[in-house]
Amino acid sequence: MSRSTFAGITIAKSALNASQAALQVTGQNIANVYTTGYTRQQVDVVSLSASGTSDKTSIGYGVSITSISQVRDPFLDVQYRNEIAKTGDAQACQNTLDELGDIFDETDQTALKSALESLSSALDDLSSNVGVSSYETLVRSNCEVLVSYIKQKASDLDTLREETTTELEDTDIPDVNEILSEISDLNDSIWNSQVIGNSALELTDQRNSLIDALASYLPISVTYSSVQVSDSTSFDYPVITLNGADGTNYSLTAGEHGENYATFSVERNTDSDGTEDGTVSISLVPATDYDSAAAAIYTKTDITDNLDSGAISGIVSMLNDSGELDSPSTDTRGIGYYEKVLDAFAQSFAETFNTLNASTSTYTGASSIPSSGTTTALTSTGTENAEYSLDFSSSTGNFLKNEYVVINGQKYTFGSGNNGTVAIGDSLAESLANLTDSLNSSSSTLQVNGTDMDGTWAYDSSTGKLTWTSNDTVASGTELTSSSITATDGTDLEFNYKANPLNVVSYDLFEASDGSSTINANNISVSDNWLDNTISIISSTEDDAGTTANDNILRMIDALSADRDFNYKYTYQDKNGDTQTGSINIFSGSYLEFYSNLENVQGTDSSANSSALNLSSSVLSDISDSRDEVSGVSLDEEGINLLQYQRSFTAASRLMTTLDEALETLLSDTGVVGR
Amino acid sequence: MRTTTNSLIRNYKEGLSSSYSNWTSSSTRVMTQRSFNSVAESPSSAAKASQLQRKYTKVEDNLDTIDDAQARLDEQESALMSISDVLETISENYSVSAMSDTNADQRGIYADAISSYLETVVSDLNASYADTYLLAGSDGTNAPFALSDSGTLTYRGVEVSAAEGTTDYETLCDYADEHVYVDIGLGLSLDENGNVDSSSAFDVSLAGINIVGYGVDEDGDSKNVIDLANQMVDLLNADTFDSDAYGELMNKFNDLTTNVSNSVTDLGIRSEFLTTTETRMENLSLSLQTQLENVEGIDLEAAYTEYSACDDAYTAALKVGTTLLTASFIDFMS
Repeated sequence: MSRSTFAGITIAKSALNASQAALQVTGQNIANVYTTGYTRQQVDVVSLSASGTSDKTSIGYGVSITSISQVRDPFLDVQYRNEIAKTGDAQACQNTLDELGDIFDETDQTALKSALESLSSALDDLSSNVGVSSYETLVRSNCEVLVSYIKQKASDLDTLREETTTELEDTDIPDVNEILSEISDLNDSIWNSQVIGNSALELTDQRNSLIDALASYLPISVTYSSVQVSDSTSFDYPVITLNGADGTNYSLTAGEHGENYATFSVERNTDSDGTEDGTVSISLVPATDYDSAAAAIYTKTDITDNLDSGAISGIVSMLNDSGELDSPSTDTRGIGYYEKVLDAFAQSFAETFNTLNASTSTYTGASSIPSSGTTTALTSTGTENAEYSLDFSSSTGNFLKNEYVVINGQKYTFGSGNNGTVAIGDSLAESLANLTDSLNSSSSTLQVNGTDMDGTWAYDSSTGKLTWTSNDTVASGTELTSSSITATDGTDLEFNYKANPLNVVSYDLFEASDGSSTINANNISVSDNWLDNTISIISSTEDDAGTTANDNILRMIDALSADRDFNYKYTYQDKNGDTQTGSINIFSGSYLEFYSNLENVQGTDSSANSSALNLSSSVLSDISDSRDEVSGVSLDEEGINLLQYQRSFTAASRLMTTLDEALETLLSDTGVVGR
Repeated sequence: MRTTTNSLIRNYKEGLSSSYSNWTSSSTRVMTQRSFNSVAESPSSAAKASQLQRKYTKVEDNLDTIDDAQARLDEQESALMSISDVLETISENYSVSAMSDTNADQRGIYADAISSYLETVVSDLNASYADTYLLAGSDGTNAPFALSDSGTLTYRGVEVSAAEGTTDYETLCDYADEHVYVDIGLGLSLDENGNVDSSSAFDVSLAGINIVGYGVDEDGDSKNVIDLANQMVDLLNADTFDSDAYGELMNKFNDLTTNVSNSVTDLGIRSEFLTTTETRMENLSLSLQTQLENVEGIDLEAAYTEYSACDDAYTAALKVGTTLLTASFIDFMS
């Protein structure tokens, strides 16, 4: 067969083209040698053959560039993304564990443990020096220090929880949404480029980097979906899926070519009374093939418990989980564990010392005071008076200052007898006698069967009865029952006595600073009564104990070192919907042992997680090496390529010159025989 | 295997960072001389160290308490020695034989002398240490003994020569049975009622009436050495001296004096016990310090060797970096 005279020049031209392209791609590789996420590119070429001929002497037509491609192994991407999710999870946990270590690890600092030891020393000193106020002050000061350490740790835990939650709300979740948004934009851009014939390799690199970043936050998998744009052309786009722990998959990208994306949100959970309980929920509106905004409200899904790797999972477990103190228990001892343990510590400590310091002196206020009296039942013959009596025969003690009774709508306050108060007598009988005078001056009128009658109050100390007797007799035939005599407003006549709590001094050494009935690590404080010296440590519980008796101090010393059960108490609703209280044993031992154990739990968790993180980081580093082995740029190689393609370009140029010279011979020197 | 420029740099950075991290931890160990600086570094050592530290602190507290108890005991002993000496002086100088051939004036002088001695004894019975009366049982902030105008002795307001069966006598019995225990490292334990097990703590209280006696004997004579001596004083002051009665009282007085001497011996034994316990606790303290040092401390030579190795490794890593990052094929292209 014959070939075109200039076929050789076409071959040389194609070779020049290919070499030049290869040199430029080499240049691009060298330029991006340090670009994060850059994938090495190469020129894909094929040799052009003379097709459709059976001539065994046919010669090809040079070389053709088919594409500029990336050298990448998708399997390594999968491995990398799986591992970076684990690393992200472990790193997120480690960050919190390190902060917890700063709060609880007292290896190189003087804090709660030494405060407990100092308290024990101070109690030892007090036991030898009972009655010397400076030693009790020393004990109190040590208690104040101890309490402030407990509160400081509780406050640090609050700050840690708040900061972790805020980071999730303001940084991590917005970051995830931003990454998804950028991936969606890149999907659009890549699609548009591909449609006009541009392979958009650099954009693909950007997208891969973003997917890697997303994988550090969430457990994702990536598949590629193909879109057929013509009979011969199709383009791939990545479909990113969130892999739930229970096997449920959620689409993070969707649409024609991945232009729609999912959005994540975080909410702070509240308990039944609307207060934030410290935990969070992560919700997802999965990507759909439709307009995502329209579908949002219908598809929002809570995926909090469905995340098992990635930084978001790590942060959420640190915020939501309390390990064995959850019911049912969870795998991670998060911030909640430390809060609960510290609360149990504070509660047990306060309860123990309050119980030991409980006052054994008898409350001298009045007790067994009747709340109402009775009318003497009779059917009048016209000579009987109406009679109402209150029985104080079994009452004990005496009224105390500022206590009061309300009778017949009038309030009678006990006191010195001045300023309208009822004088407190030396005995209850005397006080009641004094009360009688006041009653006669302001409550002498009562209703008998609905009719006002004047009468007189009198107290009989021999019977213990306070009696009101009508001044006039009751009309003949009137029937009186036990409830015939009432107050002047017609209501039942009552004797409302309320002991004044101010008179009942609490000997509690510790109290809740917020007035709550339950002491926890946040509200524990040394009681005001102790601080202002209203009460003191009860050094002996023996009757008629001497001034230096110290049996109760020894009980306190023993309480510090004795083994006890530390329990975490919680409430839950049973199957009938009734609130029940449950209890989980945290530890058995002394206070110091309990705190050391807490320190050790933290240290062991941190050490174990750190090992897992190191392992995961090491594996990730190996996978990164493998990825670089395939996709990274080697300056050595690119240098060699430069030489190679430059030589190839030179050779193609030489070919062109050679052909030119051959043609010169043909065109200029042919047919000149005999000239 | 393809080695790329980026992976080379990344691995170098990781290696350098790890080398630096080793260098800082080894230098921290040398500087702090501790084998670990956080629980996470060595949870088991930290747990053991905590346990040893707890014991050590408690032992140090116990040693402080022993010192305090010893000082009290010494003062108690000193007071009792003084009392015993005075009583023996009375016994020796004013015996029945010393009263023979004496007239009322002489006996009156003797009686005054005995009364003076008795005042000294009462003063010693009210000896105090650090604002606490040493012979007051558990009522250490109030002076326990007082001589009434009539010359009778009271202990915490109760006449010491109360007859058996009286409320006062019951009160005295209660006072005599009081204890003030302190923890000196005998394994303080409480029974189910919250009362201290007496063998697990040391009793620092001493009720003076256990030394000088209380109640009356079958003859109606006081079992208290001071009241008894006052009875002797009354006999001496009597117009007619009853030598037999005086002799009888003197015999009883001698017996009570012996009780006081025996109490001094008892105190000596208790003091010896404290000393033994103190020695034991000091040994324990030293042992705990050694154990603590073994767990928390470092072998300085080994730690410094490790530090030097880490320092060399870090320096070497830095040097490698300067050559690693410059050379590639491109540098040799012409």
